[in-house]
Amino acid sequence: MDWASYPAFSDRVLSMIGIEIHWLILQYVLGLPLMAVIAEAIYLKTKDERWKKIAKTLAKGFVIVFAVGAGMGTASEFGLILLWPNLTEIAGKYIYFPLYAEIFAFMMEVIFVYMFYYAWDKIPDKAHLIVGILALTGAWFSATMIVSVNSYMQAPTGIMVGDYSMGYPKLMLVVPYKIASALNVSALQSAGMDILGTSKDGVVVALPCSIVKAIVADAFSGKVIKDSVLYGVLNESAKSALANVSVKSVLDAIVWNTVKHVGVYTVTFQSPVFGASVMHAIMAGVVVSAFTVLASYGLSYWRRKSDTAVLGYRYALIFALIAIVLQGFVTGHEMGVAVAEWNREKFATILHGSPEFLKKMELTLAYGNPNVDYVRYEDIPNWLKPPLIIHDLYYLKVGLAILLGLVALALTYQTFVRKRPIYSPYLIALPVVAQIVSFLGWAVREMGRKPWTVYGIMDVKTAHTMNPPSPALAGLFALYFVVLLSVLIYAVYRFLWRC
Amino acid sequence: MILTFLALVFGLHIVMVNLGIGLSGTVPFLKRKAEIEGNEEIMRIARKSMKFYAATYALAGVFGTAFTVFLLSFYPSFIGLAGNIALVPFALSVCMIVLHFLSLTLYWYGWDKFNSERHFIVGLVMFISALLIPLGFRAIFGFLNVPIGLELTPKVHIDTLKALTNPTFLVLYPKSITASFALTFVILATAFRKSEYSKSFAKLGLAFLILTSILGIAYAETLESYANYKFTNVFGVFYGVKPENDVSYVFIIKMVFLAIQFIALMALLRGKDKLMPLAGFSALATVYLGEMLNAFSQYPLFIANTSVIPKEIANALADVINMAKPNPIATMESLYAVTLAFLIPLIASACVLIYLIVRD
Repeated sequence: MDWASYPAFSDRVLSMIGIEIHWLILQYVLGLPLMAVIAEAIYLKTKDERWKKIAKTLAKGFVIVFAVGAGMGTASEFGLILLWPNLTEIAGKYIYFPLYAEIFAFMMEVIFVYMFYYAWDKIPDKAHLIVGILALTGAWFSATMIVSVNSYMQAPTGIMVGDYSMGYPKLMLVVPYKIASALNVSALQSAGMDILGTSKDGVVVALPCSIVKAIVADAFSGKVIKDSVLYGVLNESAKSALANVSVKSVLDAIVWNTVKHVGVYTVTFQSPVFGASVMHAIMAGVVVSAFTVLASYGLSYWRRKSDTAVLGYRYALIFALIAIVLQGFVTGHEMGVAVAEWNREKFATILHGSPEFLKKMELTLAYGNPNVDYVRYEDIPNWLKPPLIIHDLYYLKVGLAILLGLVALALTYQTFVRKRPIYSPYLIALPVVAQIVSFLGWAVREMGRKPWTVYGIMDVKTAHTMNPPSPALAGLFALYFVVLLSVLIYAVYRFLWRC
Repeated sequence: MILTFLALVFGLHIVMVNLGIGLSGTVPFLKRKAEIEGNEEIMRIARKSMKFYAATYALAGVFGTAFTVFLLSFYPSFIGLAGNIALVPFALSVCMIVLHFLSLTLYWYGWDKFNSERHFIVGLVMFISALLIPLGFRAIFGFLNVPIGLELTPKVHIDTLKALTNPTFLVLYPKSITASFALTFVILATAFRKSEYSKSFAKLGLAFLILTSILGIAYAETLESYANYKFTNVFGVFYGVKPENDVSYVFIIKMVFLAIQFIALMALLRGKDKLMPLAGFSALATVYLGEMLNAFSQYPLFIANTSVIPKEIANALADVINMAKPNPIATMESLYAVTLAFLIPLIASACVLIYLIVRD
């Protein structure tokens, strides 16, 4: 499958650019406060003024980029509302809590990030350190909430994977008794529905995602039951009574009931890929930040020899090495295992066309067995196939990440073993590569979810607005954001690195 | 409780962005004047004002985001509908928000790094983007008064050009801008009441207050003609018409705060500045109450005048545009408790941040 062949190509590209710019910036709000807080803690312990200077410079860095990051966050939020309003509606209706809680996280970020910068020397040192910890907490809290929603989009709570010929993937739903009594159970069972049991809330079923998707599509196109797939699975007695009821009201009743059964506040956090996703995302921010600081101090020393630059360079180098090792061997591994388990189509597409030795290595890492019977790309029904491009993007990402790790290792050897650190303007390539790796990670995750917008629930076409911008207008918006990003990068260079 | 949360975050957002619009327009001109005249006092005022804005603009933004997310959680179908039909006005505002945040960053952190002319140009971009942010949003507010520009073919959408001819919008937008400057000049007159320029700020504050009052009367007239439900809820009791949802008391309180500002500014012009802190508070309260009045006078309707929408569509949308029918899984007491548990300490912390910034 070609990535461009899925619906709403230009709007997907526009969303990708807008959200990537937001992500590109906010990674520094995830990583730099951590580095600044540790630097300040070391300063409080050692009273070495160089550490204070490093902490202040890092704080200035994230305060400068925060403005545009927040602006792009608003743009991303409105972009989702305007381009994918039906996705936004189901998020607000059924899984609103993490978005709601993210507001408090965002407030924490805004208040304490600025207090960290503007209250320096105005409040006691220890209080200032606590302010820094609160700023960091706000940033990570915010990321956790948003990633939980994204995790739900990758693998919603209640998703069941299995044999495609048996109707999998299926989604666990709790159908209220009143609705269940109107359904023709044998018709649904012959279509692949399994009855898992009953609870006080209703009948617990596993419904094939092909049916879930059709019901959601009918609901968002404003259909009533007599015009919907639901009509065919109603009891004869219910058909006339419910013919003119809107599909959306039935969908709402079932999903609200399911969410209440699972937990209104915890539904997204129970996504099977949530834990790995949040660790991997936050660590990506730390990796990008560490390599950026490494490059900036390397460049700073190359331009203007100073003790602070030497210390900052060593500090960032240790940080970068630890971060990339953790990202590769711990969080990245956990993410890979989760994808192999819960996003089998994505995993199969990544492996498709890989050399045999690479396949065996990936299977060993994912399942602990190189000869495991796994889902192959050819096994996936056509309507579920992700775009093949993610195979190339994945290996490009992994290759660049390994390269980044090797460079960090080499620089560490040069600096701490051979005592001949490398201060070079070419270090500027490091944050660029780190950003590309991070972008590719998201690209594989998001593009690999196609044809779904919410896996197993809502496809791209249903999520899309009824009034999309023309491709030319979408291109214009994308260009606008890219130009603004370029100005921001220049501003950071001018106000931070050159000063 | 839902309405209280919406009113709180929206009110805080509106007050802060009004101040932001005013400061974005005032600071670049003050700084330019200071540079041309070599006037250190004006430069001090410009710098201190800009420092306040640079440190608090994100607070204004976060309350705006909070409002949107609260709306999404409590009224998801309304947001879904808005997203499907209102691309252009929202997109205009969003593009301007990003440009404004970027120009603000460049202006503040480039204060001593750009030459005077270039810095002023960046300031102008900051000002113009600030003026254009509310253009799209106020077009939506005008649409919510009376949905002029709603087109049903080929698909339901808003015709932006027609929406911009909405008589309620044509008055509401300039009123919003003049109100921003009225607030800003009263706040500057309060903050720098010991400065030799306080009287200049007071005069400008008075001028913008008078202008805003005139536009306010014009806005009320357009509401009477195009969104009578709303007009009656505010003014009905004054001429013997029974409103469905009487909010006239909000209007009366707002007028009291407005009167306090006039009195305090006149006193300042005569050399007495004791009333200015009260005037500053009144200015903030006036903007807050004005926005509450505009929003809640149409309760429980998201669209005040639905008579211009074909009946079958209005009926189909009846639940979607009804504020009295929120998302049932977002109306839980435990959620209200969580909201208060976060909001109270966070707003207190925001006050500490503002105190730390204005202290020196």
